[in-house]
Amino acid sequence: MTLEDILINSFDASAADVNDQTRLMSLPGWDSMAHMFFITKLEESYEIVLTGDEIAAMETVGAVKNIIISKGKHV
Amino acid sequence: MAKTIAVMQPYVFPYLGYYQLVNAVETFVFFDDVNFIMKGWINRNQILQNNEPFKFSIPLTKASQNKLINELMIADYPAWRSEFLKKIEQGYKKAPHFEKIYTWLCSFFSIGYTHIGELAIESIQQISILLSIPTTFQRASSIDYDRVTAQTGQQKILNICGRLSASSYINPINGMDLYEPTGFSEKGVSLAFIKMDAVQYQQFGEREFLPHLSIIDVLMFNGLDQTKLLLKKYSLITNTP
Repeated sequence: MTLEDILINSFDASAADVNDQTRLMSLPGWDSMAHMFFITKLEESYEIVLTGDEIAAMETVGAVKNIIISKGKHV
Repeated sequence: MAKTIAVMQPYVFPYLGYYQLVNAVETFVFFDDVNFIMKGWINRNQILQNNEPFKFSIPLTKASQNKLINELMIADYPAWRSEFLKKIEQGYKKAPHFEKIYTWLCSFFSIGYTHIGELAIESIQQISILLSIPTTFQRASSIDYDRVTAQTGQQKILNICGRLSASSYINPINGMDLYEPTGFSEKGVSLAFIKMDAVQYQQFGEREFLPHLSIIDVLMFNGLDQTKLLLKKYSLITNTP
C-alpha cells in the first residue's frame, strides 16, 4: 500500500486532493479518530514505530513523507 | 418541535460533566464571543503527574479579560505541545488505555492550532466524535442573535434560544443561582440543570480518588466503552417558577 493509498483510504480523499502541501485536516474525512487510524495503517504498512512528537508533527502530507524517510523507508 | 440546547464557553479538554452536558442536548453552542476569563478553565485543566493533580496551562499571547475568547492566540504552540505530550506520557504511561488515547492525543495535536478558542472547541468536538456523541455544534459568534442590547448572560442565552427555536435549555448545576426560571418560562423555554453523579473510577494505586480531572484522565483509566457509560451518570433538575 502506498502512502497515497493510505491517505485516500483513511480520509475518504481522492488522488487529486493529495500533494505535499495538503494539510491532513483539509481532507474530506479528517477527524482526530480518522487520523489515529491513519497512524496505525502507516505503522503497519511501513513497519515503523512513531513517537508522539512525530505523530504530532504530521500536519501536512510533506511532513508525513519526511518522517517516513527519516526512518530509512522509501515513500 | 422540541429542541434542547446548552450554551457554554469552550474549555480545553474539560471534565466529564462538560461532555455529559454536550451529550444531553441536541445542539450545543460554544459561547466563544464573550470575554476571556483569566484563571478560568478556557486554557487550563488538570491531569495527573506523579499521581498528583497537576494544573496545565496553555500559554497565550497578551491574554486579557477585555478580549473575546475567539480572539486570543496561543503563544509558541509547538513547544507547548511537545512539553504537554511528554507530561501526558510521564503521567499516564502505566494507565490501562494509554496507548490508544496517547496516539489519539498526538493525532489531535497534529493540527497547528493558532487560537485558544479553536483548540478548546476542537477538544470538545473531537472527543465527542471519539465517544460517538451525536450532538450538533454551533458557535455563538456565527449566530445572528441580539448581543448588543442584552445586559446579562441570561438575556444573551435567551436570545440564542430564540434564534435557534429552542424549547429547553440545560445548564450545569453550578449556574443555578445565575438564572431566573421566570425569564425562561416567559419565553416558552424550559430550564433544567445537569448534576453529575459522584462518579469514581480506579486511578493509580490505593490512594483516594481524585475527582474532576480532565476528560483525558477519564479516558486513560476507562477507555472508550466505559467512558460512554459514564456519560449517562447524571441527573437533570428542573427549576420551574
